[in-house]
Order: sequence, then structure tokens, then C-alpha cells
Amino acid sequence: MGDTLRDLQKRFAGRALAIALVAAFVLVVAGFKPAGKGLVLGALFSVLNFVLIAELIGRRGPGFGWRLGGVALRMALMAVPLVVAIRQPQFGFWGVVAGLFAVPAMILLAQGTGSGKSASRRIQEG
Amino acid sequence: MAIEGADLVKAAAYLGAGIAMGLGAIGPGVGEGITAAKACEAIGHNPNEAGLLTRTMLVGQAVAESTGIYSLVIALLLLFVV
Amino acid sequence: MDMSPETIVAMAAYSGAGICIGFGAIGAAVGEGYTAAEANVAVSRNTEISGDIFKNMLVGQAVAESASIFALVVAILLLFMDFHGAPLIKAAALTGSGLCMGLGALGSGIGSGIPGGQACFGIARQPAAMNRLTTNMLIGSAVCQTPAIFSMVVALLLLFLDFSAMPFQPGWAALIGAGLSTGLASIGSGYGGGTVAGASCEGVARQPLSVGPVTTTMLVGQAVAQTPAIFGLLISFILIFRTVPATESLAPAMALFSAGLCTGLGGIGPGVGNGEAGGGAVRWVARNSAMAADLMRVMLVGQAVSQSTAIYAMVISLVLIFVM
Repeated sequence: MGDTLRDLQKRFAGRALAIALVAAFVLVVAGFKPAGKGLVLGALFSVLNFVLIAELIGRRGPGFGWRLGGVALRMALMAVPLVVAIRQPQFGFWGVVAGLFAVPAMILLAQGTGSGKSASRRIQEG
Repeated sequence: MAIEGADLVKAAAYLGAGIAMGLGAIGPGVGEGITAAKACEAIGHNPNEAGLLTRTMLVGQAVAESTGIYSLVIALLLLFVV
Repeated sequence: MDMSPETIVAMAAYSGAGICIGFGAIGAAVGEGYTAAEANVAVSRNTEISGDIFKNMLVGQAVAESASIFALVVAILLLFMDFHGAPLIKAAALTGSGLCMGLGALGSGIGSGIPGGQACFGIARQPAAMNRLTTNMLIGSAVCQTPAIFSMVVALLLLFLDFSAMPFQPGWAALIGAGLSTGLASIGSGYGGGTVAGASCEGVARQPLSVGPVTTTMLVGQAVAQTPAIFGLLISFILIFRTVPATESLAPAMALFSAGLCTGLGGIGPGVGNGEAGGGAVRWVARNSAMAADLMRVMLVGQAVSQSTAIYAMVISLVLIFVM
């Protein structure tokens, strides 16, 4: 991780959106159009949330109530696509749910394919 | 719905049994875990005495377990005797 | 005041959603607070790499708050799903659903903040081990989400299954008990899993060469710490799927409610204790890798003994369900 915070955000946001777009394309081709659209919508809010974490977590607030407010704000933001998906049948609800996990899934996936291989080798050796 | 006195007593006994065993399980669970953590620390400090330290840990845990067993006895009494 | 079943079901759905997202947000906020506090200490110790510490904290938080996103999804479903014409027993199912997901997200949220904080502190201490610390933090946080996933399974079953065939009198207690069982037991397992993962990050920072045995011990310790949540899940499934005869009296209903409460409460202590035992073992495997096998054996024996009270609680629950 030799890059700046903005680089990291751009890289992770780009990768998460790319994975979501590819998955959505596959879903649309397979005939699940609402799920695909929902996935992209959810992934967009997942990325927005990831950017907001950096803005909110780093500031030294007065304490627990302030943090709870920050979490509540981000939860309220992520509730938006879920409510949209319930009101609008063109967005599949479970697609949106999957999309909301785009960033964490991408982080774990990158860890599993990248340095994870060497970690498992180390376990076998040690 | 007709709820009579005897029914109410039985209901309270069942609830009491659940709470007794449930809350009674918290203390021993945490305590025995801390005992095991400290035993690991001791073995790390002094690997040659691993056998003795494991035995000591088990004795300590058995004593910590006693309140869990009291809870179990009380719960069984509430279920089958009351 | 006259209340139709529809009003009561709607009230249960709204209060369930409130409990769910409330506990979920508290869990995420406590976890985030712990991570940020440790990160601040870390930055004050080693100001030059504050950027790396901050990035690690960000990545950790993104994974750690998955539990509260589960809670958000269940809360939105409770608020916006259509329950018109649902029988009165659905009110109990929805309350149980909200309780289960909220309590489960509380434990996982707090627990998965611990490896984040310890990894930030470890990076300040040992910047060369940064990649390994991030890896262990992410594995640990991901395993901490398991109890929240169990809770979500039970919460979604309670939301979507049709309980109109279940008689109201013992049924309401069985469904609320099912929610409490997995929800409460998940608190212990979530927190315990976090303790183990935090200790592994601390250990890798102390002795980066020990990462292999430390990670193995961490995974075994975390897996055993999930057992109380699995007991809770088992009791929840029995309570949800077992057919109960209709009754007029209160005692059978209270037996089912108490069964859920007992395994739930009884799982908290062993979950936390298993976490302590696993954390102690991981910490000393890092300092003394040659003893890894012995320490793992002592850890497993200690965890098994600490598990015994959860097993007593489950036995009492099974007696309450099948004998009473």
C-alpha cells in the first residue's frame, strides 16, 4: 500500500464497480434484468459509503454519540437503494442487497487471491 | 383464556429455570476462558512445566465450574420438583 | 382501545425494525470507536506512517460493518414488507426477527472492531509487517461476521415463513424464543471471535516470523468460539420448525420462551470465555512458536471446559422443549 488515501479509494471504488458491472452484465444476459440493475445500484451506494467512512471515521469527534450519529447517517444513506428497490420493481431487492456488499467482498476477494496464497503457504511451512 | 394459579406457578418455574441456567452459564464460561488464557501464558513462560500447569488449570476450572453446576441443579429442581 | 390483529402485526414490525437497526448501529459504532481509538494511539506512536494506519483502518471498517448492513436489510424488510391479512402470530415472528438480527449484529459489530484496532496499533509498532497484519485483520473480521450471518438466517426465516398453521398460544413464545436464542448466543461468539483475531494481530506485530502458526491457531480458536452460536441456531430451528399442540394454559408457552432465553443467555459467557482462551493461546504462540502444538492443545482443552456451561444451558432448553 504505497499510495495515498485518494489512490486507495479510487482503486477500491473502481474495482468494486467493475466487479459489480461484470456480474450485472452476466445477470442481464442470463435474463435476470432487475437483479442486475439492483446490483449496480447497490454497488454505487456501497462505494459512496466507503468514501464517507473515510470522511467520518478520521475526525476526532466528542465521543460515542457522535460515532453513532455517523454510523446512523451512513445506514440511512444505504437504506435509500433498499427502499427504492422495494418501491420500484425494475430494481431487484436481493440484487441491491448483494450490491451493498460490493466493497467488502472486493476487499476480501483481493486479499484471498493476492497475498492470501503466500499466507497459506506460510501456514504449511510453519 | 383461563389462567389459573397452578398454571401461573408452573409458567414462572419454567421461566425461572431458563433464566437461572442462562445467567448462571455466563460467569463460569468467562472465568474458565480467562483461566485457560492465563495457563497459556504460564506455559509460554515456562514450557518445561506444561503438564503441571495444565493440571492446575483443570483444577481451577473445575472449581469455577461449580457455580454453573449449582445453576444446573436449581434449574432441574425448578423443572421437576416445583 | 380495540386493536385488530393487523394493527398489532404492524406495531411488532415497526418495533422489531427499531430494535434491529438500533442494536446493529450501536455494535458498529462501538467497534468503529475501538478501531479509531487504537488508530489514534498508533498514530501518536509513529506519526510518519499515519497514512498507512489510516488506510488500514478504512479497509478494516469497510469489512467490519457488514454485520450492521445485514441489520439494515432486515430492518428495511420489516418496515416495508406487506403484512396485510397476516395472522396475529406473525407479530411474534416479526418481534423475534428484529431481536435476533439486532443482537447478532451487536456482537459481531463490537467483535470485528477489535482486530481492526490491534492491526492499526501493530502497524505503528512493526511497519514492515503491514501486509500480514492487514491480512490477519481481514480474515479475523470476516470470521467475526459468522454469528451475524446465523442471526440473519433465523431473522429471514421468521420474516418469510408462513406461521398461520401454528396455534397462537404456545406459538408466540416459540417464535420470540427462537429469535432470542440465536441473537443472544451470537453476542458471545461475535465478541469472542474478535478477541482471538485481535490477539493474532498483536502477536504478528510482536513477532512477524510467527505468522503461520499464529494464523492457524487463530482460525481454530475462532472456529471453536462459534460453537455457542451454533447451539443457539440449533435451538432456534427446533423452536421454529417443531409443531406444537394448541393450548389454553400459559405454562407450555413459557417453557418454549424460556428454552430460547436459556440457550441464548447461556451462550454469551462461553463465547466470551472461548475468545479469551483463544486470545491467550495466540498471544503466546507468537512469542514462543516452538510451543505452538502444546499451546493449541491447552487452548482446546480450556475451550472445551468453558463450553460445558453452554451445553448445560442447551440441555435445559431441550428438556424444556421436549419434556415439559
